[in-house]
Amino acid sequence: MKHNTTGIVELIDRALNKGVILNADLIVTVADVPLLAANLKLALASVETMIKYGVMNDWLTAIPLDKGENKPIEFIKI
Amino acid sequence: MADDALYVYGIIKFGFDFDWKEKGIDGKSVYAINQGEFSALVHDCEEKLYTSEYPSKIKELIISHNNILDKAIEVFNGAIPLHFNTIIKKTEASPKANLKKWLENEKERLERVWNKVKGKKEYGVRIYYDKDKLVQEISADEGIKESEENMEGKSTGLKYLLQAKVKSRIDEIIHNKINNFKQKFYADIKAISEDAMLSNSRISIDEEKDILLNLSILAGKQQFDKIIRTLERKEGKVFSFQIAGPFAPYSFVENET
Repeated sequence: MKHNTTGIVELIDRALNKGVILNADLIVTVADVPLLAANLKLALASVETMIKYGVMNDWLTAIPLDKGENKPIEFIKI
Repeated sequence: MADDALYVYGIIKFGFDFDWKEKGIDGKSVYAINQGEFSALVHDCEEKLYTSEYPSKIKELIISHNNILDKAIEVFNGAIPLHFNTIIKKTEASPKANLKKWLENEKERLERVWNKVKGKKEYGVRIYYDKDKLVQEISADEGIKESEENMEGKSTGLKYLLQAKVKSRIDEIIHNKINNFKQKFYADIKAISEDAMLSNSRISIDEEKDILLNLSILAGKQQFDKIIRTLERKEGKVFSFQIAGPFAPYSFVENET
């Protein structure tokens, strides 16, 4: 599958918020919230912010982490 | 730390354990753990969630999760996606035993979901409308034109009142038209797809246009082609649409307990 800007955002939204959810007693959780690490939610919010300000394409073509040039962005609260 | 947990991508209908050639998140080898008629696609991992402060890394993790599901849909004619970051931990029993027990306990639900999603993929469909063009069309309506013509020669005060009345009438017509368009589009698309639902996504992608409808649809290849043809027929100066996907059918699994 080729992910364009719309595709990747919609995929993130689905993979983080939908899909089969297992009983919480069987799976790794954060603060008793099954599956959704708080920073993943924040990252999603940051994606929305980038779309809003038109920098999504930069994010999509971000330099891989192992090159050490990809700086963390400031997360916003949702 | 030892790999003492299992990352689960999704469920396929396949009756055997097997090692798959596909690499999943962080290049991990994906294999299948079977119980009855269903198997879970997994990799061995530590008992901690995959995450990062870097959005690009999270993007990469989620794409890897979805790639395994994409390939499973092609090879096994379907996949029931699990939520990203589903990691089964060790309890009194091993992660593998916990997974097998879950597959056994959930087999009826998995059978229902499988029958719904097999051979199908999910797509996001966003339908937009151009409000200005809609207003232009409505303003050309005979009744509205007549009301505007009736303003000729009227006093300023009366003209102001009549203009407000026309505007209110246009707003009312727009409101009704949009509701009718929404219902019609939704009914038309639902009728030719396996299933369709309003998407509750918080994400707004195109700020330039007004969104009429944001749907998640479940469709096989032929159904999808038909949906595209239907949307293309409706596309014009007022309506436009955008498709995202295909995705594994995340929105069409049951999560009742």
